[in-house]
Amino acid sequence: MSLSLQKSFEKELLDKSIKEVDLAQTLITLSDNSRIHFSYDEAWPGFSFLKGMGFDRIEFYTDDREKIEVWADRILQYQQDFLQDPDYLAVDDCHWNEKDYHSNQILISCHGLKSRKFAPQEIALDLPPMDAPLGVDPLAIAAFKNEIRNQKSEDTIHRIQNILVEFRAAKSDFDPLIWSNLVADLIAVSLENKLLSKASRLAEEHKTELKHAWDDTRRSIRLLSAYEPKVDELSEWANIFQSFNSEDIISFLSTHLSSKAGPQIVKLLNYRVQTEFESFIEICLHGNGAIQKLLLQWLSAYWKPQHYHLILAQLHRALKETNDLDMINYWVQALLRSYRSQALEDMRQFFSNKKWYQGFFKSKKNLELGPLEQRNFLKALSEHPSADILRFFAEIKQDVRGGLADEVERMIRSYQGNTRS
Amino acid sequence: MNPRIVKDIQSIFVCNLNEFENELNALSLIRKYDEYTYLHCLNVARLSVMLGRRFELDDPDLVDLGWAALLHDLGKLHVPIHILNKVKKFSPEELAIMQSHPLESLAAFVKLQPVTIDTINRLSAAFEHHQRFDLKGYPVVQRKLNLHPFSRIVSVADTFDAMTTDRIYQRRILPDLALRIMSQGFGTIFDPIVLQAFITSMGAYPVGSLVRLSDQRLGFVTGYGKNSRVDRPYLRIMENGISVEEMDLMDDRHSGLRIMHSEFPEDHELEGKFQSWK
Repeated sequence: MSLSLQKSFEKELLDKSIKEVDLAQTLITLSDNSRIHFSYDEAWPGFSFLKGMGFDRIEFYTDDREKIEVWADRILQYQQDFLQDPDYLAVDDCHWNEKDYHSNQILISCHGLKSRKFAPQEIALDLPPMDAPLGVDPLAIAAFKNEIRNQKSEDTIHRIQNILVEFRAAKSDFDPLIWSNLVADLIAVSLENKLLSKASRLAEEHKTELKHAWDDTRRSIRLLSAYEPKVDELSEWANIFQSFNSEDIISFLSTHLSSKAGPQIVKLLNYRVQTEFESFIEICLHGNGAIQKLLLQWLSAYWKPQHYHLILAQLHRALKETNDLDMINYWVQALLRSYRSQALEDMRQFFSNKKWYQGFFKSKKNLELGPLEQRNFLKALSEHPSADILRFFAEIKQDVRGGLADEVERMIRSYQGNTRS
Repeated sequence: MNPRIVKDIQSIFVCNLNEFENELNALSLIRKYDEYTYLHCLNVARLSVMLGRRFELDDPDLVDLGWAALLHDLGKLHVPIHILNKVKKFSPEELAIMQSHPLESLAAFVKLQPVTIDTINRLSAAFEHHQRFDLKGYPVVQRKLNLHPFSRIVSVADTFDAMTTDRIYQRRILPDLALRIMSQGFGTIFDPIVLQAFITSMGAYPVGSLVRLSDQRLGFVTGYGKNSRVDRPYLRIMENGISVEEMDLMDDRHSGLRIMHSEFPEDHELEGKFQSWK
């Protein structure tokens, strides 16, 4: 039997068995028909619960203590379930009465359960005020208050991390976006609290989930602007953004350069280009004009002979399709960087007329440019003065006519003047 | 901003609502979805903030606590309305959906706004308010981390309000009886300090209770004095629907009297009587 029931009614139950409990009148009738009053404060707690559920009377047809114990324990279990969540206890499905297992005879019966079709009062904000004297040890109150005040950021991060773990364990079918946002927030909070190593560890642990977080602009800006890495922290910091696709970072830069994350996006891109230049070269060679223009500035140091033909094709295309001198200039620079001697040779074809055998065998692509394109190219090339460029100007002088020839002449003189001075 | 919601919140705590636009929107979604859940959230917030005041929390903490309580059931927006208001027993699937609401609250919070050091308090209460003090509730947790203090407050307020509110399928439990039943969760379901503070500041018979005295007279509990015992409040004795006497049970003249139990005012045609005096 539950301890409290035994304790409360020990005397009565041992001497005389209980016949009936009137929950409304707080009266117990014993087997000799004597009656005693009880108080809910001192009575077996199951009586409060049964009354709360709407019962007003309990009849006992047995004095078998084992049977009463089974019933009492079941009622207290219902009470615990109810306390955990008052909305979920299905009162109709609870076994409030106790029956004999063999004969099916009722041993304990509870009466007066209010009709389930109860018409509720209008729900109103009518709650009792809490103005009774507070009977709690002031030290306990102070300790509780301090617990709220002294929540450390580490505790908070630990709490979010814990929620994250539980969330994943409990809801594997959750929207991956929510999951990744939670991961991103946890990392951002860590960074905001200068816990770079923790943030980096978390990003490594959850790099797959984190992938979706970059779709959320607000969170991406938060993550990027949360921490300003020192030079020696750059690698660890950049590692957090490992799953942030390089192409997306580039387009993010173009749209959010003026945001508070702007300086860090530049820092991240700079780091990425240095460490992953091959992939950036790929992006540059196959990207649109805006991306190319941005990346060409960063990539100038990384062009190699193996990129040469692709750059030449891009330069040729740029000359044909745009008047953007900056863009042309960047491509010229890239071409010279990648394979200078070959570049100077091939660039001559922008000017010389097609040889008769080239047309015949079609072994080489015709690279010759129109006058405007030639002018743009020469302007770009003149930005990179050197002895071999001067030689180049001198060589192509014979292949250009009219105003353009004058311009080439001016460029040569200007270069010679510069070198003399 | 919905003026009704603004008024409801301002009756509980004071804050600059412009700073809580996301939270306000979420609350208005709850109200649109289910009026009972909305009113329940308001009640839980009111009780939580009252309790927070008894703990002498600072104003910013009270605001945080208030919002934590107001949005603790946000995840119920994801529970189909026919399940939310179901009268009969839940099927296992329905129960699983109902019990997923703390996780859904968490998800909704994450959607609503980025988690920060400041918002984690609100988030914790939504996620933890059914986890029980001994962490044996739901959602089932693998890592045992003590409940956030706000979760412990909201959990007590949530249970009390659910028990003392009339539902279509269940008459409310009288407040004093609800407190007695709740005391059986002391240290297991509820934080003992929070529950003790809640019960003692409500009083054994909360203000507004209609009580039966040992001399069989009926009276409304009207308040507690500074030196009142939790079971000996001020009363207004009622006879034939009329208040006939005011009484302080701490007074020596009434030392022979005691409160037997509480009763429903509507069973004596006294509903609304107490409210009319306020």
